[in-house]
Amino acid sequence: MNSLILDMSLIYNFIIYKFVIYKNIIYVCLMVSKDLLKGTLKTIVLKLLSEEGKMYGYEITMKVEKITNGKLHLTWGALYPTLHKLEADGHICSEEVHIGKRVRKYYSLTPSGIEIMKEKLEEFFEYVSLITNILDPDPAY
Amino acid sequence: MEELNNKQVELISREIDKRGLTYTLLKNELLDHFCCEVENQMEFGLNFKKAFQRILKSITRERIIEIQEETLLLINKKYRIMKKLMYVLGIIAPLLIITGTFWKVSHWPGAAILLTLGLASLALFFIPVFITVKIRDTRKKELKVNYPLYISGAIAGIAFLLGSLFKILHWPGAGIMAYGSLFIMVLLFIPQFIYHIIKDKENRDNNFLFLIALLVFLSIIILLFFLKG
Repeated sequence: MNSLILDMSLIYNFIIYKFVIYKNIIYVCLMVSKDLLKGTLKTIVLKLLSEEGKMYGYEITMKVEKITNGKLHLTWGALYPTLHKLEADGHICSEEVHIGKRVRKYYSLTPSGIEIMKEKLEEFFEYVSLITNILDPDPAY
Repeated sequence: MEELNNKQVELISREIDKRGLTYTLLKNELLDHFCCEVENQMEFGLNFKKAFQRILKSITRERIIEIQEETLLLINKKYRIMKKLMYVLGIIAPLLIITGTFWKVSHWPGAAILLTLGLASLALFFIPVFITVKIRDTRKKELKVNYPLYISGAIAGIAFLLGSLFKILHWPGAGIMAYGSLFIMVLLFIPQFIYHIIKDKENRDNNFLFLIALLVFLSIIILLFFLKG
């Protein structure tokens, strides 16, 4: 197991492992590193909004956790700056709903957001296929 | 899902305030987010106090401040760079002037260069940037911008600094600038500033202190002028 981790950390610098010690047994969990997530966070948010129409921040984190079976956890620290940036750029718009003392902000895509989402998705899949070629080349080629 | 009551929401709100979150738009959102998290924990059978304590652990002051800074930076890159530039210049320029004065008094070579750099950067970069940042900050708080105050202050400040610079370099026009800046300061800026102090209750102490320092400074400068004359 040790050697595996060493290899992985050398080759795939962007995948990290999290060790969880529970009742004297070491569990190794695969986690997606922050760096890797950061570059795709915008794409994730835009894509989810395009599917769901209208979402608020907490809903987005829950949705991501549900889809990934809890493997990917968006922290509020990463999510909200991204949401505000997307809004400032005019890719998403928001609508506030007052619930008692709380203000819930629902986000939805604007026409420019839809365009950006399509661009980002395309870019992402192209990137993934390129990186896959580099890191895990098909022996047939 | 059980919803938190107003009292509980307020408790969380106060905890966020304590950690120095001032950007209201972000605060409202984070408040709702933390409330949802607490509610989620309560779903699993925790009581409010325990759930709240657990969530609170992840909300440190450093993190809140960092996220706030990051959000503001992402939204408004230009403004943030300007503000940083203001702080850097605000430290470097006075240091240059102080070192330059020391050099000049000691009759070492190079004093003029230090003083020129310090005074010019203060007059031509620091004051315009400072005024722009100030006006923007006021606008952001949705307060009325007192343009005569800022413009008279900026002109008086720039004229005074350039006047001193011209005097040091023995260029013509130093006297006119210095007198002009004093007139603007006394006749336009100070009345406006006193009016501003009366209106702005929030920063009254700081503004009052600044006014006193300015008046002392001005009286010393005027005294020096007359002594020389």
